[in-house]
Amino acid sequence: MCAWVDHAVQALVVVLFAAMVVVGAWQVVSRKVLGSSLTWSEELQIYMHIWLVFLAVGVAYRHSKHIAVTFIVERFPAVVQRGLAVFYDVSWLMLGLSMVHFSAVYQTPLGRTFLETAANNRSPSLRLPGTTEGVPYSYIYAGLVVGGAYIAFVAARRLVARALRLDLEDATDDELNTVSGDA
Amino acid sequence: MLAGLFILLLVLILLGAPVIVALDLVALGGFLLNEEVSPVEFPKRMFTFLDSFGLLALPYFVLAGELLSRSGMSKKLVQLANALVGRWRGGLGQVSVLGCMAFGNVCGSAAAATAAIGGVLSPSMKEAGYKPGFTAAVIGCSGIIGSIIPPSMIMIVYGSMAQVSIGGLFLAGVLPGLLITALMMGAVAIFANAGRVPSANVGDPSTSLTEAKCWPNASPATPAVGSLRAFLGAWDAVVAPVIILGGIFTGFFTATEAGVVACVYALVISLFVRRTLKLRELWGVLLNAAITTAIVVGVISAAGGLAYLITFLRLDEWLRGALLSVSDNGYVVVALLLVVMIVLAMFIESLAVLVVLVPVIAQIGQAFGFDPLHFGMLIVVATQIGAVTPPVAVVLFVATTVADARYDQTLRHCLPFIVALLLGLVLLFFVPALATFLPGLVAGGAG
Repeated sequence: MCAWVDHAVQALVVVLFAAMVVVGAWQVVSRKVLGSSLTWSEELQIYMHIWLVFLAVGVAYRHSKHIAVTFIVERFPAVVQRGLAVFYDVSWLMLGLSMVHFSAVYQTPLGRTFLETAANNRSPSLRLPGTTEGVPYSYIYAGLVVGGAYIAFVAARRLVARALRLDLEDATDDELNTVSGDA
Repeated sequence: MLAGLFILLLVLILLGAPVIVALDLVALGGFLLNEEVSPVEFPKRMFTFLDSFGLLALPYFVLAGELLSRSGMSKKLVQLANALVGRWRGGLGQVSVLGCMAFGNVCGSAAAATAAIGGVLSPSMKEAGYKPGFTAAVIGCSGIIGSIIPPSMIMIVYGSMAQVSIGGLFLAGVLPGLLITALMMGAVAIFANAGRVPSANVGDPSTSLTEAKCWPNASPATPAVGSLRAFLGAWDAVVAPVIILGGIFTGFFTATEAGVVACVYALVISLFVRRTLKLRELWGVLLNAAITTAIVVGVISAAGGLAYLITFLRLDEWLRGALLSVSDNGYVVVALLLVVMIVLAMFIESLAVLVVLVPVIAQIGQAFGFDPLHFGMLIVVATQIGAVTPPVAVVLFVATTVADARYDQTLRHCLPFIVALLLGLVLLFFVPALATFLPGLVAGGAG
């Protein structure tokens, strides 16, 4: 169901990671070899990392990779285990929606959302291309909104699949090659 | 109300909720139930610990570890360890300790070190007559050396949250890591002397099962030649920590820059030198590393909300007051704190314990005149011991799986090794120089 969304999010994650390494390497070269520090590179890496993390939390959820201690639950009857699994999917849905709602929809008593407030604060050293204006923090915090929406999407799809008793094909994915070690 | 939320957190984690879900749910509940706090804090506080350049060391070292562990490195390091200590009493047991230590020099995760070294060694140990439970216990307890020897994800998490120099923590981890390696090897030797470990002479290529597996077409003439050949075989894994630590030690890079350099190094090795990675496989490697990063950093972001609630409800002051009411002796208070952390990590996943407690306790060490690096190393070692202490021993779960053992068999063998690890913690507690000596050599402190 809607596999293109997953591919798009994963592509964005991979591109962000590759860009972080490139910017990081550029920073090291320019400071250590060329002798001139970049002013913007640290901030750009931090912001790309924030986007990467909030998107990849959803990717990790889709592949059921998040840390959980399951050895107690594994001794419970199958019905209870299924019930808990549904409860956790509902929790993910609620958290994803809350991340979107309290960032972009909910208004403070001043009548502004979190993102609107953040738009007034600008990065001290990372400039918008071609201008002298700093990047507004809302650009960075928007990663949470997109990430939250993706989490809610994955959770909703899982719950629908459970309700319709469809097979979740989430567990297998060609793009994700598990580390087989080198045994 | 707060007590209720923390009980909810404990119950959720014990009932198998993903740690990030448990933390975020409790934070969300706290923000919604508390009328004095705006719910806007829920998204806002997720960024508290993420706006940090030090934390970037984490994705970079995860990526470098992922790249290097695909380049056949763990097998090469096991061969090197085997050439060095395989002839000793309890040979393969010693090899597994040293292998985990060597792997920890390149990769920053206890679970990854356990899986990689255990994956290579446990079949040989089984053939050599080791009980699966013993194999799992020794590999799991050695695996945590991966988190104590730099680079270390746990140190990056602690350093970025407690605002302690990550480069300094890396240097501080070297001697404690070597000490714990020595203690673990001592524990294996005691087992071997007591005749409880098969002492097949695995260094001898003509009889050794390990040799046959690891060295299919080589029969070194003498141990020295064998060691040299093994060393040359693993040169890329041996050079990596020299670059990383050397760069930090000389003040040439920060820990984050060292992570970038490690990534570039690992890319060059795996794409051009060893050629174990095809360019099109890079996509999957990046995605895997991103997922590992998000699993850890996601938990850190969730801890931001909780840290805010804890401060808002003055729980940190209450906890400090409670500790102080026990004693006003810093050693007693910090020792008590370490015991609390180990006990909590026995029941809850150790990363969750760390991220919830660090914002509360980071100031305590300083208040009693502990060196921040010494205190940080104590916390890191204590949470890692918690990760191999039953009932909830995450690293032992991994070891049990790779060694094909049953969890109760592993538990039967792990006690002496946990005692060795605790002895390491006690020594580190009373000898701060173990942590502070190397960082102290760097003028002006490490980045």
